[in-house]
Amino acid sequence: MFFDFVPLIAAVSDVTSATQNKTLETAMDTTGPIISENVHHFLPLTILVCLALLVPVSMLLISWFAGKYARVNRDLSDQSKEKHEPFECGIQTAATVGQADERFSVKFYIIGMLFLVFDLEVAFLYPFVIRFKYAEGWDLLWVLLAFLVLLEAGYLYLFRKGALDWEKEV
Amino acid sequence: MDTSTHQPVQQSVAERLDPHTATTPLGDWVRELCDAPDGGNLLSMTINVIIIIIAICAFSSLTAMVLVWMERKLAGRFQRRLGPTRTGPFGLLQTAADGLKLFLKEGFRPNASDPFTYYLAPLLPLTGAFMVLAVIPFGPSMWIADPELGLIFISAIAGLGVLALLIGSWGSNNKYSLMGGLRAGAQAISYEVSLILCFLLIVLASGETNLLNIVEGQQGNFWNWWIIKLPGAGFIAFIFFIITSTAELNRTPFDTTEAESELTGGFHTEYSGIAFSMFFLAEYVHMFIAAAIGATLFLGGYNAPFEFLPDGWWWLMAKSYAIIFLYIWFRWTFPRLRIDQLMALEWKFLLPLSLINLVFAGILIAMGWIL
Amino acid sequence: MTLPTALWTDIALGSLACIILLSESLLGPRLRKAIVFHGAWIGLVLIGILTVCTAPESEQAIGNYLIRPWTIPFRLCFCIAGALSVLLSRNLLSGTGHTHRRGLLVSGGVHIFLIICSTLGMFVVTGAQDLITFLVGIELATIPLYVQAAMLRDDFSSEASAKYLIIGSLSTAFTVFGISYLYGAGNSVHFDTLAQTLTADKHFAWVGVIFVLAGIGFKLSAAPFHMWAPDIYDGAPPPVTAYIASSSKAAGLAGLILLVYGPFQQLGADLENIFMFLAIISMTIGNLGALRQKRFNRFMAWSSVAQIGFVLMALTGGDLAIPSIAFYLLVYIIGNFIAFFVVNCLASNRPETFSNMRGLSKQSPLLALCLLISMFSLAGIPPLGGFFGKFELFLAAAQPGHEHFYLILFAAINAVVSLYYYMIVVKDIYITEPTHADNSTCPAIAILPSQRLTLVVLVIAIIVLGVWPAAHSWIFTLAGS
Repeated sequence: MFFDFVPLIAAVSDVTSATQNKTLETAMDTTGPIISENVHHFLPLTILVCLALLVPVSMLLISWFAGKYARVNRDLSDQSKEKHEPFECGIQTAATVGQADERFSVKFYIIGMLFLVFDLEVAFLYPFVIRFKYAEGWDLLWVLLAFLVLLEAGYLYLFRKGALDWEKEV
Repeated sequence: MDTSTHQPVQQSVAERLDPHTATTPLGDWVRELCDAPDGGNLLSMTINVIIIIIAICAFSSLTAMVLVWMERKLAGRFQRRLGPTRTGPFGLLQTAADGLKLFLKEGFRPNASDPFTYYLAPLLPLTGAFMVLAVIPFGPSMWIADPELGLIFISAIAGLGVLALLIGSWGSNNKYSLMGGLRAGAQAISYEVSLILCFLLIVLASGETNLLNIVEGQQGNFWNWWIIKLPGAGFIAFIFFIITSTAELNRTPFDTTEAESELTGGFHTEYSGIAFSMFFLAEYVHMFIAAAIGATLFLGGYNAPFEFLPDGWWWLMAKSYAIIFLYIWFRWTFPRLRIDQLMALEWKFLLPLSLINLVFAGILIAMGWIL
Repeated sequence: MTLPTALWTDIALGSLACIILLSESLLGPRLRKAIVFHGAWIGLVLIGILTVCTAPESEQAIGNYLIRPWTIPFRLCFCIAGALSVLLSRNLLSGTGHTHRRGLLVSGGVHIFLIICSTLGMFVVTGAQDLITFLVGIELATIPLYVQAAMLRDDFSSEASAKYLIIGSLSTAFTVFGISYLYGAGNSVHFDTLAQTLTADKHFAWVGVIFVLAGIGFKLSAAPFHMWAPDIYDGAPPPVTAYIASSSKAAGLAGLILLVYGPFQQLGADLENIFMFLAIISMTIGNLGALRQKRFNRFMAWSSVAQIGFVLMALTGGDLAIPSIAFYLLVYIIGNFIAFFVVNCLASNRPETFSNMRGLSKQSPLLALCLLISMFSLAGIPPLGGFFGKFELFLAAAQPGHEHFYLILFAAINAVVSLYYYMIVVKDIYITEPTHADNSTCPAIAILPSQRLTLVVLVIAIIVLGVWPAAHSWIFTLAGS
């Protein structure tokens, strides 16, 4: 029966959320809102993920069949060599034509590393920020400020070293 | 620390407004059709969920079509043209006709490209878009899922979009595509930091990551919306949100990713037919999502601006479309930024100012200076 | 929210790191050089004094962070090693008018900042009360070292850094894997809970223990996890080598003691066997390796493997293990730093091979004498601190209930072997005449005034630690014997 999988998902979500709660409780001080045990919150998402994958795939497939029979000069297009080449604006020089898997600028790596640092910073801010409203007055603000000052010292260093300049030669 | 006094109070909101326990005529019919062993509770929930999902997905696809029409119409007006007029009344069916045309195009792939990544890329943005739609509360009982960590869910899924651009540009094996993809990657990850800092400000003020609770916390008159309720900080954060979300959407003035004049289309240079239109569709769905998130966080979501007016999805639509109008206005007003200006804007201006704004909001809340 | 007094050292260390980084990025060049260098070593010395002054009578806790009285001498060791490492990098910093054979450090300010970060990580290790904090501490202590190892612009430095990064990541992977098993077996990451739930009959627990010990063994460069040491000692910049050789080892040992007397305390007898095995292997392999070395840094690497063997021997003992290891580490750090200071002076204009050290007694009697004292101390010759350090280690292994006499006998034989190669160094600097080829490439040795002063202070310290009983008993009191 098609609907047999529903209780299964419910059971799995129950078990996982229960263990998550236990882990959190034993491992650290749980003061923030934690993932609810309620299956309501996971069942819709599970179904949605399936549908969200199904819709685009079916779009591709439908178009593949529809497009196949709609095109007129099918034989000609299959034999056309130029049609299947990478688009190069028609410029036929050695510098442009060919494979694209070449080396690219180191700047993108630097941006990637900066992103890792600051995205982690933001991720670490979440716990502070969720508890902020429920803490007494300035208590958490001091913690937040201490954390930010440490990080912004690093930010200032990066700024002065020119790591944030796109054009600077590295 | 005593945990009992710190629990959020709005925990019951979700249960009060849960749409999945309500029944629909269609759900009743399906329930009669297949006799469920567990008394029909989970089954009815499943059916209701599927109905809601299909409704919202269909709605969002329709929205994307309307948005394309709206953009073309507005672009015409900005440039003293009429925009589409022929197909249907006011050219409303123009997008549908375009979509049908793209559907019937040949499924075509350049020889040099990598088939798996080439076809995987167009799938991801739509998948991500539908998943983010799930947690947006459209109305008091109109939403698919209500996870406690809704905002974190959004920031996690939002990464799928940039992944798609990177995969697609790499899989196309074209230099223009690759350049566009790399730029898209660098730009998206840079602006994501500021975008999440804007989210954090709302989390700081409301103490919630659940979107429904955030909306419910802004009930009442319009000065209860976070954009006004946090004096100064809310408005600055809203402006930053508009800027960073424009960049995340790769829209002008931040569209170095596509940059027709330099890269002939950027990451989708090699895409045609349905694959291209899926990127295109996802772009507009994302635009709607960004506007809806902005409206939810800063403008009170589905809440009416005055207490005596009824709440409902039409308010969210009105607010979202107002923000979308801003996006379109930007696109036809500002020239494109160079990539170094783009990076400088984020790393030297938005990031530090967002952090300062966050601390400012923290001080406001610690001192109790909120409206 | 009140903070325990002992926590102020950790906060001060964090603030010092912050100040150094800020002055590196914000100040003008002249002021920057003065504040970064002098601020760092003076700050570290002051934090060392603060550590002793705020030494708690009993354990002080904040959350899962616990400051234990016995870690105070270890923390003191970290501060001393950090300050000495900063001082040692003096002739590698740009803008001080010095030149070095291998060039100057790429960024002196960052180098000094990373030393302080690493020291902070070691403080976190000693304060950990759960496995996660422990892991974070270890990583904070070692990740800066990977960067620091690459601070010179030559191939050796890059090679050392790459090797250290890979080996370090591997050891971290081992540790994390072990921690996951410990969590599975003990149902918690908290040390107090683990101390009750980790029992010797749990096989899962043993997998975890072995992997965690292997991970820490890499940090300690205990055999059979020692293969990285010689290359990295030779390639890394001299102050980083000295820091890896001293402070990093001390942190690893502090972490090991933390685990052995914390979560692993019910595993007692079987753990002793593991340590006995590690001790014997380390001593033997270290000594055999050191016998045939021609370059000084590689020689120090092998000798440190052997020294770790002696320390692990003490871990098989009872209550005396902690204070004896603390005392030994202090002496070992000072002895090591004397040797590295001397060799750093030499290495500024010649490769640090033994053949280049011939005739040192005539070129610079002070350096030769310092190196002699350092080698005697490392070998354990009586009037110096090294002798008492080793003596205490033997004593710890022979305590009632833990009488490992065969192990002690084996260690004694190894100590004699080690005496041979330490004396080879002394023979090279005092007795062997330099050949013409050696001498022609050796210009005069320049010693900076600050380094001369540091050397004298260190030599006095190592003699005082050996001959003055009060110094000895002070460390023991600090370690809570």
